[in-house]
Amino acid sequence: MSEPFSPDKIARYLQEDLSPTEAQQLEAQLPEDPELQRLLHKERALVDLLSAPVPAINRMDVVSGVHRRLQTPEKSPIWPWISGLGVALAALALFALLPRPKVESEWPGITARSAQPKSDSQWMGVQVWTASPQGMVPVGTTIEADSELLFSYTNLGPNPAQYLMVLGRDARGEIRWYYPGWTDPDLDPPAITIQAGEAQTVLKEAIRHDLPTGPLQIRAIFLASPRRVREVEMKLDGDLPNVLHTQVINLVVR
Amino acid sequence: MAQLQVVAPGARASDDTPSSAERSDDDLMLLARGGVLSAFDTLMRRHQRVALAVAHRHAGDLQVADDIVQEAFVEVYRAAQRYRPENKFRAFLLRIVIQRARMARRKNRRSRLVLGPLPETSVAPLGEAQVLATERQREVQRAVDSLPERQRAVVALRFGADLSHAELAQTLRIPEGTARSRLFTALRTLRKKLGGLGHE
Repeated sequence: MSEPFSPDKIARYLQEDLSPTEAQQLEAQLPEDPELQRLLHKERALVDLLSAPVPAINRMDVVSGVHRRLQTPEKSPIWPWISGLGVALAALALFALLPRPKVESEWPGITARSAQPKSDSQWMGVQVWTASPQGMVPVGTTIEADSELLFSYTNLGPNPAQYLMVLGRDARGEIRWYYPGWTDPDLDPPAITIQAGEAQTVLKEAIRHDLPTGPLQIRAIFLASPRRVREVEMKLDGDLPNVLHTQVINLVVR
Repeated sequence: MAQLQVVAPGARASDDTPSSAERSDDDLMLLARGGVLSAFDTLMRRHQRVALAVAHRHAGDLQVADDIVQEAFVEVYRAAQRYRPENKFRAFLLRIVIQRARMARRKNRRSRLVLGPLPETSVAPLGEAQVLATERQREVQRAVDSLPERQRAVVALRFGADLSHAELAQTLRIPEGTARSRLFTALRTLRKKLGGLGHE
């Protein structure tokens, strides 16, 4: 009796990803296997729905719209923050008294900040806080979907960074920018400037994203030269030049 | 009938100058860089349908797709000075379309926070078959919307632009195996979510 084909394999057949031999086997089995016919029909229906043409597109013409946009001068780089400056300033007094949460890292050579420094990169790090009516509260392992987050940074050592970028990747794999802020698609803001020789310096904005529940991986990237947000998004899992240190903080959004 | 001829600034059109429509994407980009706007118009008209289809599959809304594609072409035009003629214009354009689509989702999420629910729009009554087809498309789009961003991009490019695995990899600047893996993971998820759609 011939071996049944899995839906995955049938999908690969329709996407022309099977070897010629496997494809021939499937085609040979098809006329005498009603279950295979049913699965193939179902998979084809899915593909047809996904590739269904949208007739209205044929009547659309973007050219005049692009001309209009090209006549508009490029916007100057203004970063529209969701600002919680008052909360941050009020919290500064409490700041030194609060304990630091444990920071996890999955990057080689990076340890929790309470550990003994082993390299220059250990001189740098960020701390995540949430804004509350009482002031700043250090983030443990979980945050709420609508939490306002604040960040402080430490930038010490013989080779301090000059620039910082902080972003999060949410449970859907989407990137959420904290520093620099990025809400206007027309802009491509650069990393923010940070001071050398500073410890636990608070960045004075409370930033809220509408996050899905699930894991949120925050990355703080300390840089020797400024990069821009689009470049970083494109090279997030690759090589980004002039990175002195990357810190990863794994949180859970509930 | 005489065809419109596009020539570089300062040059003179002659009978052996290829028409704008006959030029390669790279040639048109180089002409656009030199200030020949009609060359860029030709490029836009050549690629707008595929760009709109990708943006629509990603965003699920024609108006949003129109906006995304216009912004993408503006970005392409402004990047013309940096464009390298390597015969990869379509990958270059679609990469920007995907980036813009991702940003549009981010922007729309914020808008929803501010605006709250929008009023229902009245529509003309549809026949039963149209209603069914429309509802199926909505279900498909909801399922695509629920995919992780990277898988959604692959689905938009594969089914919106009919890109091969190699072209997916080139456009997204990822290994071909990764493109394949994302595509089949996405299809598996969609199959589970849309389990009943294949049955007539």
